[in-house]
Amino acid sequence: MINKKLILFFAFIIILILLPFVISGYWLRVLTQTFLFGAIATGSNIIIGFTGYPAFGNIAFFGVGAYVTGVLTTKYNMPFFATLPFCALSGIIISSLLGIPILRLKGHYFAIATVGVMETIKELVDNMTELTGGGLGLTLPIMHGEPEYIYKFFYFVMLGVMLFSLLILFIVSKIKQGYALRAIRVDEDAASVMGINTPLYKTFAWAVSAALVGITGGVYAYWLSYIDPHTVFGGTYPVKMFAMILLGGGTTVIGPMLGAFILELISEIVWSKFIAIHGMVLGLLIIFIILFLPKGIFETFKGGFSFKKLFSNLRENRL
Amino acid sequence: MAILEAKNVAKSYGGLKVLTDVNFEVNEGEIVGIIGPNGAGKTTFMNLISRLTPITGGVITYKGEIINEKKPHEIAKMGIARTFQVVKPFGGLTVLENVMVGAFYGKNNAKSKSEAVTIAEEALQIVGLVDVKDKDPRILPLAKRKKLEVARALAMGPDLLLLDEVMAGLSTRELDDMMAEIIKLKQKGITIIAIEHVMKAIMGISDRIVVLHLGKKIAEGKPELIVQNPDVIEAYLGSKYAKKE
Repeated sequence: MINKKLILFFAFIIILILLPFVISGYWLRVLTQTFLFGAIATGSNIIIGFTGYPAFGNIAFFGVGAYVTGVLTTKYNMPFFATLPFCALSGIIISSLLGIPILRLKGHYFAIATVGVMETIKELVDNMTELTGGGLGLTLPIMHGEPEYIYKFFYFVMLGVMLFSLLILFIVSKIKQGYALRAIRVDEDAASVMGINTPLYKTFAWAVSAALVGITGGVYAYWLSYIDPHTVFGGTYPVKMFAMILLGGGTTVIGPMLGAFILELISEIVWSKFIAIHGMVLGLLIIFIILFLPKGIFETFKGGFSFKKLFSNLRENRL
Repeated sequence: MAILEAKNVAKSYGGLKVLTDVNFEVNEGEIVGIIGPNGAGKTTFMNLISRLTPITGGVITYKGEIINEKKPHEIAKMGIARTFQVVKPFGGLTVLENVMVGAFYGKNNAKSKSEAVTIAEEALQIVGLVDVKDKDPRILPLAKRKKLEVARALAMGPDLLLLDEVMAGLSTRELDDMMAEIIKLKQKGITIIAIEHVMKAIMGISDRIVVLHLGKKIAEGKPELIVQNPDVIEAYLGSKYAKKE
């Protein structure tokens, strides 16, 4: 069974690697955007799905990563790839410092606190005009080359970042720290009396998530070559990220990435055809997921699709 | 020799006194039962030992060391393990993986996955859950989930095991089975403090019983003497019946 899953996964990756040679620029861009969300959802899933801490404002580190790459490439002429470790590092430092007080909160309180963090960093970036360009945004050096080459370059870099995030999540799921995180998600008190240093492990989980989302932000900044605080710190990113994790299933390794694929591709089709109702469809989809698929599409339909499973979830939600 | 000592232990939430001046010792290798009506402060006392709740007054000493200011994970590493009244297995992990968490992070401190698996399988063997080791614990019946709690605690390699109502809700047969297992643990040299409402069980396994009522210790002694103690009868059945005795 595991082998069958592995074969399917690698076949999927090979298709993704071969696709740029047969599809057009528009679809390359759509898929790059999908990988971006796949990377954000997968990276954030370490704190959100595995540890059970709904870091709604985890996008703060996406913005931080974007600005780290932006500032280092424009002000310090650093090559793009060299900026990525700094994106990860800045995420680790900020999440570790903030994690000590904020990770004492649970559930909704923690989620709201992370939104507070996101808004605070956004305001700081907005007001550090000399360094960040403030509300006017920051224009990054444009990559030289044929448009075709640039499209493919970012396609593969973003695919790489998403697969890297997936690899890290897979490793975390297999090591003893991964067991500790999942124990914390179910019952933090039980985890702590079993010898797990819960504050330390929660901070570790948030730091890894922040680092991965930070790297994704760095790639995003160089890809679009223009960033501003209102786009990279918020927008629809947190809602989409959460919907993807919920749809795919936060307890699985691959779920958030597949959730990103399903949602982003549906979103793209709806967007291009019915621009006015895009937000409404996204909202309805989230409500549907929460009511009918609270454990995610893959966990719910493990043994095969059935309407009965959908409605039993609805009953469990006591509605 | 006393492995655990509680001296004038008190716990209050604001003006509400949950425990007042509780004193007792637990000797190495014995089973001490804690009983008392609902709201007596039994689970609170256990939470104070495992440091899930900060202590308001008094001193708790484990192996000669004051543990008042220790963190729960430090307590676990010192060799104190516990189970919970409300059984909550770690969903998303198999039965074996649930127990491996104990092996990795308790006093046993397994360094590798294979070591953790060995310890966990041994613990599952003791409680008789090896045949369901690859199952999702959420689908197990209550009796098996309670055993899983015990196995998780055992995999930590405890010297002192705190059992919080592991026998509540079990059938007569399951109860006998669990009692036999607890006695087996004692024979392995593990000291046990057990909170229980099932009198048949607690009287059957305990060397000594401590009775709490409204946050105070009202009696302590051998099980056969405790059942005749007028204060205990009054606490459980009211003064009318106590006087009759």
